[in-house]
Parts: sequence; C-alpha cells; structure tokens
Amino acid sequence: MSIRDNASVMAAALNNKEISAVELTNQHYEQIAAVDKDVHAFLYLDKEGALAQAKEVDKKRAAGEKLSPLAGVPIALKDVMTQKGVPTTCGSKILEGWKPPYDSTVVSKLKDAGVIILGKTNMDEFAMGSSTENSAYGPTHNPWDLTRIPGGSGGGSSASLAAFEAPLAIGTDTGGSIRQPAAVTGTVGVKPTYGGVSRYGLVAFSSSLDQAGPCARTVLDTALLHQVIAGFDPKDSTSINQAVPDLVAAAKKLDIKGMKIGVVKQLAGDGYQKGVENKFNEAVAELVKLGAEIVEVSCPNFEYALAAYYLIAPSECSSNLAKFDSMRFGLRVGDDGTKGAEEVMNLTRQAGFGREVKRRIILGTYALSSGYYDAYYGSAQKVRTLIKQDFDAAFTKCDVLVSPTAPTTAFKIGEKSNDPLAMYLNDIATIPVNMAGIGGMSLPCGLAEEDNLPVGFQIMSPAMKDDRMYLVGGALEAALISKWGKPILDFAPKLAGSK
Amino acid sequence: MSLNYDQAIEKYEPTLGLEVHVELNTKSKMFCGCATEFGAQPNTQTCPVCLGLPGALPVVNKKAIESSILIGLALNCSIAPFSRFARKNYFYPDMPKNFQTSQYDEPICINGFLDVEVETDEGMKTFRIEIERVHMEEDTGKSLHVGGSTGRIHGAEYSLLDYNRAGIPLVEIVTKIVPGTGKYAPLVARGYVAALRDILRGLKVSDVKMEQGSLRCDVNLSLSKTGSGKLGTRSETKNVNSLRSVERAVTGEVIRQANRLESGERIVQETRHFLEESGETRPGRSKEQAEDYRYFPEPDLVPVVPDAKWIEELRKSLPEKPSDRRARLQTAWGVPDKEMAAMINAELLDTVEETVLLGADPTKARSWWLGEISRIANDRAVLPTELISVKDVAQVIALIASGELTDKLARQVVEGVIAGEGNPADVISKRGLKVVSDDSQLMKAIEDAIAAQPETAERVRGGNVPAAGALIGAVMKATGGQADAAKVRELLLKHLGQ
Amino acid sequence: MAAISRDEVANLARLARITMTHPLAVNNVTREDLVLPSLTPTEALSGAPASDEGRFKVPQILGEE
Repeated sequence: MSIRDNASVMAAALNNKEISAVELTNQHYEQIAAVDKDVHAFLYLDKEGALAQAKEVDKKRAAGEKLSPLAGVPIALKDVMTQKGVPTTCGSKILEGWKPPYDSTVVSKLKDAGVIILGKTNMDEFAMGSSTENSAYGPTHNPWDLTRIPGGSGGGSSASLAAFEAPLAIGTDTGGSIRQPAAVTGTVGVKPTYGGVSRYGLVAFSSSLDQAGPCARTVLDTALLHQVIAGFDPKDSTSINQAVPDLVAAAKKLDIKGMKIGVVKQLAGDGYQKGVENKFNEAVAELVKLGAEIVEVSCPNFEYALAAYYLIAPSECSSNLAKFDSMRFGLRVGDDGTKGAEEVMNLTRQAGFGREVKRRIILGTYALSSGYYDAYYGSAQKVRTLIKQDFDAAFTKCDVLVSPTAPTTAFKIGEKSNDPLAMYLNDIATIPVNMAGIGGMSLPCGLAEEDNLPVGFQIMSPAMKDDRMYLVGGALEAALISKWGKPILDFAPKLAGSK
Repeated sequence: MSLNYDQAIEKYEPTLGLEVHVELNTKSKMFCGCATEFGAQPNTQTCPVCLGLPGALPVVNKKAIESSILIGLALNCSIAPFSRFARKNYFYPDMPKNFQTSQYDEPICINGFLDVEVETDEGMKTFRIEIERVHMEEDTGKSLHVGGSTGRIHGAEYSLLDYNRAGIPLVEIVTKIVPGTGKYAPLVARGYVAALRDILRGLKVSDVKMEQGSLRCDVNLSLSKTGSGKLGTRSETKNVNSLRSVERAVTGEVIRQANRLESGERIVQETRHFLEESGETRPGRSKEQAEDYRYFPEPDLVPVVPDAKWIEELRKSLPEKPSDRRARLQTAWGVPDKEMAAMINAELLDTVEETVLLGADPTKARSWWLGEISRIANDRAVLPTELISVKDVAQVIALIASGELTDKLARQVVEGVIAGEGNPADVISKRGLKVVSDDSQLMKAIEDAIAAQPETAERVRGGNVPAAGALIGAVMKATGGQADAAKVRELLLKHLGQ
Repeated sequence: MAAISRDEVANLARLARITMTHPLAVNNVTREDLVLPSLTPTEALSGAPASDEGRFKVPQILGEE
C-alpha cells in the first residue's frame, strides 16, 4: 500500500488491517512535509485533531465495530467549510485566525464516517477565481508544472490530490470551482445537483449557485466520498429531501451500452485550445466504442450564461459578504477609540478583502441597486430559467451531456491575473451547470499535445440523476486507463521529495 | 402665534398610515432553534444562524408562518398563494448579517381591513382601516451605548451588543393610507392599535406587551390643506410604545406640521422619534431616507406556497372576532354603549366576562371591577386584576346576592382580600363580618334600644317615623354594623306599631 | 396603432414573471417550533474582536442620537 493508491484501495487495506489509520495519516503528513513547500495546497494542518480522529477509528476497528467504507482514509478540506475550532479563512485576510464554533454538515458527516480531516486547503479568496491566485495567502502551484495554476477556486484541494498529499478532498463549486481545478490537475471532481449536499457551514459566495462536492483521483473514489456527504439536511432549506441514488454502484457498473450522450454544440469551437478539443473528441470516440449513441444538441441560451452568471453571483456575494464587518468575528482594523462603527467597518473591509472580492462586491451592489435591479439581476434570473429550459429540452434527447470542462489546460501563474475577463472565460463550459442546478463531473481525458498537460472531460446529468455521471464517467475512465496503460497522474513529473 | 390642535385641525386634514411590528410568541426564533425568553442573560440565546456567522443558514419556523396567516385571516386579508422572503440590505451593528430577512414584493398576506369604533360627537362611529400587507421578518439585537451621555448613542465611546433578540419572529402589519378621520385621527389611530392588539391577543400569537416592545407602532402622518385634496409630505414617527402615546404622537405631529406649514416651511420626509415625556417628536436618523435596501429574493430560503387545505385548517382555528364578541356580550348583559365603552377602555371586558362566567350578575360584576376595585388600583398604580382574583370577586357578589353580606360589609371583605388577609371566607371569619340576620337576636337589640331611649320610642309610636333613625342607629351600633339596616328599620317600626 | 390582444398581454405577463428559485421547485421547507441548544456565551463570543460583560464590544455607533 502506498500513498499513490486510490482511496478505495486504502480503505480495503485499512479494513484488512494491513495498515492503521494513524500510520496512513502520518504517511500523508510526511508527503505534505516533503512537497507542500512547493505546491502550497494547504493553509492549515490539523495534525493533532487528525491523529486523534485516526486513533479513534483504529480503536473502533480493533473493537470490531462496523465502520463506514471510508473510515480511516484521510481527506483535505477546502478552507471554505467550517470545522469547529479549526481556523477557517476562505483564503481571505478578513477571516485570519477565525475559529468557527461549529461544524459544517459536511464535516459532521465526514467525522461520523471516520474520514480523517488532514487540514484546510488553499483557494481563491471567498471562492472567487479560477486559478487560486486570488488567495490572500499566496497561490497554489500545479503539481504537473509548478509554474502553472492549479485551477480555482479549489486549486488547493485538487493540487493536494495530484501531489498525493491526500487521496480525497472536499471542494465547492459555484461556477466551476470543483471541475475546472480537477480538469487542469488531472483529477476527478463532481459538482452534485444543487441541494444534493448540504451547504450548512459552507461560507457562502453565491447561495443559489454554491454546491459542495467530492474530489478524488478516480471516479469510484469520488462516488464513495459523494455517498458519505450527500443527503437531506434539515439545517439547509435548499437541501433536497429525496433518497440519494446509488452512486458507487453506478461508478462500478462500467456498462453504457445504448446510452444516449449529447454533445453540446455551443461548448466547443472558438476559444477552445486545439489539444483540448482533440482529447475531448478522442474520449467521445471511446464512448462510441463502449456502445453509447452520440447526439448533437443545441443549447442556444448558453451564450448568455457567462454574462448572467456575472450578475447573479456578484449580486448574491455583495449581500453574503456584508456580514464581514468586524463586529462579531474576524479582522478589525482602525478601532482606535475615535472612530465610529461604520468607519471601522469600511477600514476593515478595505484592508481585509482582496481586489477580486472588492470588484465583485461593487459589481453586485450596483446590479441590485434600485433602478438597475430589473435590468440586471432580474434579467439574469430570466436567462437562468432559459438555460434550465435548454437543459430540459436537451435531456429529452439524451441521458447525459458532455463537453470539455475548461477551454484550455493550466496556464502560467500571473498570465491572466490582470485580465479578469480572460479569467472569467475559464468557466464558460462549467457555469451553465450551476445556473441550472444540475450535476456536473470532470474527469481526465488525456494530455494536450501542445503542452502535455491534462485535459478535463465534463459530464452533465439531470438534477438528482447524479448516478448517470458516475455511470458514464466510470466506464470512460476504465477505457482510457486501459488505453493509456496507467492512470494519468503516473504521467506527471515527480515532485522533489515525493514518494 | 402658534396653532393649537383644534385650530390646526380646522385648517388641515390629516392622513394617517400605521405600521405595527408584532413579536410573535413562538418558543424558538424565526430561523433557528434558539429560545426567545425575554430577559435572559446576554448572548445566551444565540447560535451561528442568529449571530450571522459565516456558513450558517436559516430555516423558517412553521409556527411563525401559521401565526402570520392567522393574523392575515383575522384581518380579512387574502393569503398569497406564493410568497417569498427577501433580503433588505443595510449596515447596522445590531443586525448580524447586515441584511434583514424580510418580505418585499411578495408578502404572505395582502388587502385586508379592520373596523375601528370611535366615540364621536355624533355617537359611536366605525372607521374602516384598510390593511395593505402583513409580512414576516426578524428582529434585531439590542445595543447598549457606553460612555458619552449615558444611554444615548451620540457621544457614546463604544457599544455593547446582545443578540438574544436577533432573529425573534416579527410580523409587520401595514395599513393603506387612512384619509377622512378629521379631528378624530388621534382616536382612530389609538383605536386601531387597540383593536389590533385585542385581535392578536385573541389569536394568542403574541404577548402584545407594548411596554416590553412585543408590539411597536410607527405612525405616518401627513397634512393637506382642508379641501385641497392633495396629499402632503409625511413624517414617520417611531418608538410609539403605548396606546396613549399613539394618540399623543398623532396629536403632536398634527400640531407640529400645521405650525410649520403655517409659517411657510416645508415638511421634510423623515423618521422622527416620539418623546414619551413631552409627547413631542424629534428628528431621528437622517441617513435612513437615502438608503437603497437593494432587496432581492432570499436565496437561502424557498418560497412559502400555502395550499387551500392548510389555510382552511387555520381559518377553522380562528377564535371569535373581538368585535363579534363585544356585540354578543353587550346584548347578553344588556349594557348601554357608554358603559360598554368604559369597560373596553379600562381593559376589563375579559375580567368582567370571567366574573360573570362564575355566576355573578353582569351589572354587579361591572360595577365592582370598574368602581371600588379600579379606584383602589388607580390609587396604587397597579392593575385591578393584580389586587384581587376574579374568583374572589365572584364569591363576594354571590354572598351579597344570598343576603349574607351587605354592600357595606362586602366592601370591607374586598378591602381585606386586597390587604392580603386571605380569601373572602377568611376575611369574613377573621373580621367577624357576618350579616346579623337572626330576627330574635335583632329583636333583642331593638328592645334594648327602646328601653334605653323610651321617649324616642314614644315619639315614633305617636307617628313621628323619622325619629326612628336614632333607634336604628343604636341597633346598628349594638350589632357592630353587621345588621341589615333596612331589616332593622322594618322590624323596629312594626314593633312600635307603625 | 394596432391593438394588443389579450393573449399577447398574458404572454408578456408570463415572460415578465419568469424567475427561478430552486432548480427542483422546492417549496414550504420549514422546521417545527422547537427550542434547540444555543452556543454557550463563551462560544458565541469566541470570534469577537472585542467583548465586555458578555456582549460584543463594537466601536461607537454614529448616525443616530
């Protein structure tokens, strides 16, 4: 057993008592110690808490207690999820040092399942970004090429998987923040159906779009984790009170004969890197070989998705981030006894928020202003309905939809940091999924010939039919690995000091 | 020279608008499970949700929705088939999220009315107050300002915040504009709030304690030149926290605005604060006017879509309307309008009804509660029901009816109960207050009196009936006042052949 | 000017009302009116930049008398 193994293999080894949870946890901390100075996936390591958790799992296993399938397997947690007593920064200075007094529902579920939480991973500040360069604590580096971005906002979570610092990770996806990092790091990430995983304890960026989800190195591992964190939560009014489909069974089925797979006409062409399109097309060809039927579908309103997204998400964020005012928690700046609360609030926000966060707050405040509401926020909500109608129509013709996850492979750190519009275009293929609240998965489909960097393949499934992504994703992954002869991460250059 | 109220109202026609905030009496808060007890230690009834901590999410209290629908039904409103919460965004440290979760363009209840009876020069008159909307929202925390001039924000060095109240469910009831009240505007405003309070109390959805802030009223008022038909600029007076204050605030604003207009000044649209001591208003926070609340639908909550079955179940549980109940009681008791109004104004209708339900005669019950007991209560500045229980009063009335007590003795019994000497039976036995109704015992006292005053007795025998007073007095004295004077008189005169 | 038909008005009204709430059109999600444990005052105040007498201590609140 090695840290390069998949989570399901680790789980089996733990179950067979070939390794203890404490040993496995320590091995991951050793890897983190060796490589994270270069990768910078983590913002905080909770070694003490993780080892206490691991000991508890080992004790229970020794006592013959029935344990959850992932008990003892370590995980990396995006720093946007609250964990009681553990610093949660959201990649922002404004929350530096804040220790939440409560666990998010996802964390409660992980703890209940005995999944060992190693620490908190780096992210774009408040999940706003596609490169993790907007973290107030410095960027994360892509393990495939340390000069490149690991995607964002959940670059830390995906990089930790690609660097073998953790076999599982939690991400959150508002416009692609799970799937795009998965795509550019050669890992798997799933944005569940909106309401499929509780948002309680997920520090909100855009409430109607945010969704927590699982990240791993394989489709099966992702399914195992998804099954642990999914389900109705009475603390989240938008959580869906329905049984979660059997995702693990779907991931293991490997049979997609007769399935109808739709290729979205609008998610290709201009702006998509040649190598990305090639790898995507080769993967579609694999699906045909597996017996699937390919249909081309048109989603004309996707054209407006990006514009509508950049009205809705900033509008909601301008309101969600209003609570960061230095009164009850977090940073306080300029309180010298002479200034009023409002002035201190302003100084704190000026010092505590980064450029991109401020940009979006200003944008959203404007879009919600009286006189502009109907033209901006109101119209964007209508576009959203039209996008959902496009999906509904497409899903009458096929079981799942597919597209490249991101238009390009990982770009260089700094390359787009002064061009917000170019940065926003990274999410052009992932945003429609959030707008409609459906499920989306990204899994690796090869290395682009131009730069030898991983390309992501996106599978989209109707709301609450998340099992379909796992079914198609599992079959495609198996076909591709057998074609390549080894998992994609084995093509990545070895990090200095890595095992 | 400045106008007084009568002069002001002759020249100007007031238009009212009333916004009432009601704290619901749910056990838990609007969006979380924290308790709502009044007066708990600071920040002991808070959690990530009502503190607005990052990541926390709201879930609506079902009882709060039902209470809101009940209020809407009682106010003759339509219940919206689709209703949503909205965020009202503004910064204020007592509001944890810096937005209030409220309702905006999709409130739960719309278009109702409430009839208010007001005593006018032409007798009782009904004013129909139209209700624009009833919507749900949450309360804010409480701030304590330390340093500077004590208790006032200006000049405070810092503020201390307690979020126990933050997130307590509020229902806001907004009237449409109320024109045509003329000089009765203050009475109509007061009558509306009183009627509303009775309805809410009857629904058992709120404690409706104005002094604790569980019912708060904002008064909007504008003046237009009589006959002009043009609406004037309105002021909004906050902090009006008793029925009397509602009346005074309207009166005060009519006078203030009329005098401004008379001197050629303009009325500024602003928020004003009511000053309990002087009955005047002063300008409040000025920044509130320019505020753009950037309302948008609350994405963390889902729509409220009450189906017909739910609404009908709630409708069935509505209690009798206060106005119907009054009409019923008035007929049953045969009470004239004026006395009915007196009972309502004294807030003793419930108490009198309870006393009657224990068997007391309605007239007697009314006269005891509004007379003797209210008089003592007034002297001591307490509520009549804090002095003596309904049960004890009903018992005293029963003892009078059976002839065991005279009115005079009964007053002593009530006095004893109020003084804490126990229930009526205890007081009667301790003070020895039984009516002397035994004829032989009385006859003995009468004979003693005749023997002591033979000349007086002779005069009475001779037909000088008024002279009997001295003998009756002597008998009463001898029996310690416990005899029925009328009875004594009857026996005495008979004995002396008259 | 051509008259606008009743149907056209209805269609415009429908388009004007297009809004999205939850992708699965979930409504009426509520909780029963039950009291759940609150945070301890220490926990409640644990993240406060400043506190005093069990309360959150904040700079003076201006703009109101």
